[in-house]
Amino acid sequence: MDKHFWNLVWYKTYADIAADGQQTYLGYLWWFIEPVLQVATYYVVFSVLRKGAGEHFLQFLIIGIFSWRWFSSCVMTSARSISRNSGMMKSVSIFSLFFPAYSIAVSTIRSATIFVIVLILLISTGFIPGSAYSMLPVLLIVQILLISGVGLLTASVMPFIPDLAKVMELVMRAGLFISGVFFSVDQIPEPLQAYFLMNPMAFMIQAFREVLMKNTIPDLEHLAIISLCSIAAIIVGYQIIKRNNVVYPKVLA
Amino acid sequence: MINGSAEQPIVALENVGMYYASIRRIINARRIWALKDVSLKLFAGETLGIIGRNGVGKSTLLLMLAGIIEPDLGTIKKGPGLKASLLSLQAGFVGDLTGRKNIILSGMFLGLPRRSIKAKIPEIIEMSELGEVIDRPVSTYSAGMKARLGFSIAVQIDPDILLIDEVLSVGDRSFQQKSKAILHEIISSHKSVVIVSHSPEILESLCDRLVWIEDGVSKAEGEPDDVLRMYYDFLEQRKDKDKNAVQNAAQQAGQT
Repeated sequence: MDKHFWNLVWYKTYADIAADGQQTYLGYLWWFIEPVLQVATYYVVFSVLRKGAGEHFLQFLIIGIFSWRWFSSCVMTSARSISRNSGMMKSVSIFSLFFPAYSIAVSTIRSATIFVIVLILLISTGFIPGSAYSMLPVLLIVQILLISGVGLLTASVMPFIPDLAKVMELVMRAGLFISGVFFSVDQIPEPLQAYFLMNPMAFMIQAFREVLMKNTIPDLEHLAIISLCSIAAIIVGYQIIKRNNVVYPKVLA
Repeated sequence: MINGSAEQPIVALENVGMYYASIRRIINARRIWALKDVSLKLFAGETLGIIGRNGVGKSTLLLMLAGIIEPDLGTIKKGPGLKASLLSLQAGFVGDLTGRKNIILSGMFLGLPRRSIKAKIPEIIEMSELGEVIDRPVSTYSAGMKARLGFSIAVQIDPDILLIDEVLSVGDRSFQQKSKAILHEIISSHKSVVIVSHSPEILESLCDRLVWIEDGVSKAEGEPDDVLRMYYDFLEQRKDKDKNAVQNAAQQAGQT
């Protein structure tokens, strides 16, 4: 991985972001329309139809959907990125890490833009930044590590096990319901809470809410464990990709 | 011609074989051998042609020479530090971006540093004859315009060994002459080139030596005249065989 590799990752990321604005009449507005509609739907379902969703449910929901969408969209595009680019691999010689790397970069830039809107919304509805905001960069970095770990590891094995894409779709669909996007951890029976938080995304969503809505520092030890596991996954994923760089074009024939 | 017997080849393949991933079944998975037993040598500065019918493994062989895939059998010896690249047209084009941005993107995919591809933009625009259209999205281009742009970017690469797969003239008719001339110029310069084609006429005029591949096996290597004679004989025999097969089938059909 030399300088040229990373230059290409950045230029391809820039190119894809630029293309996002060209592909449709509404262009970049689509980055926001989808999550807004999703928030609106769940808000109607959980708050209006089923009374008693709790105070500030809208803000609660927005944070949940933001972090979940960032994770799921990023991981899914990354997971498929190597499998989908066999044509490219057969026309130029390129290190396959390129495909998940720029996929993660593109989704992260989209999500970061949405995050700015989320922050503005929270602040303008009375959630004034407190001292716990200092933890925000840490949370964002851990979330990126987590996404990169899962994204790289799944991308590295997907060419050998195409069925994994189907499995991941199911897991992601279930994940939306078991990661606490619509509910908080204290709504779960006490003995199950520890199991619930073993899902790293459940913990991350809770941590984002603690920092942004309750001005509370999240459990740092738990954050450290997620970071370490993610880094381990990144290293393993990277090694698998490195070893199989000349194997992927054969497997994906 | 440069290939003396005393000279060392810059690339040598010895009894190389390679299979593609099998048909995906948990039980009874099968391997598909694209190459079975290929040996060949490439000498510095020569143009080597690879001839054979469709689907005999020629393109796989080029991928292997480019280092994109590795053999499962046999050995490849390549001179240290030598870079072999495919002449890839329109690599990594993004339709919604302007031609100008695609020049940079595609050029970088081909391995050119960003700075040097940027410096070559005027030359590429001129060669592709696109003029002001270069600042419009590539998705608005005609197939011919896209081919012209792709070609003009692709020929900017300067590897030690250039690998060409069936792309000897591209674009609309007027551009075909030009692209052909440009490629001929590159090929006849002192660069080492490997060209794959199923067209004997093209290879005969361009190549110093030929290799004939049939069903994943290198059948002959040598002077174009000699190799082509064997190739033609083989095609004739096949034709006769096919004719006989058709006649036999017709006879059998008549008997029943």
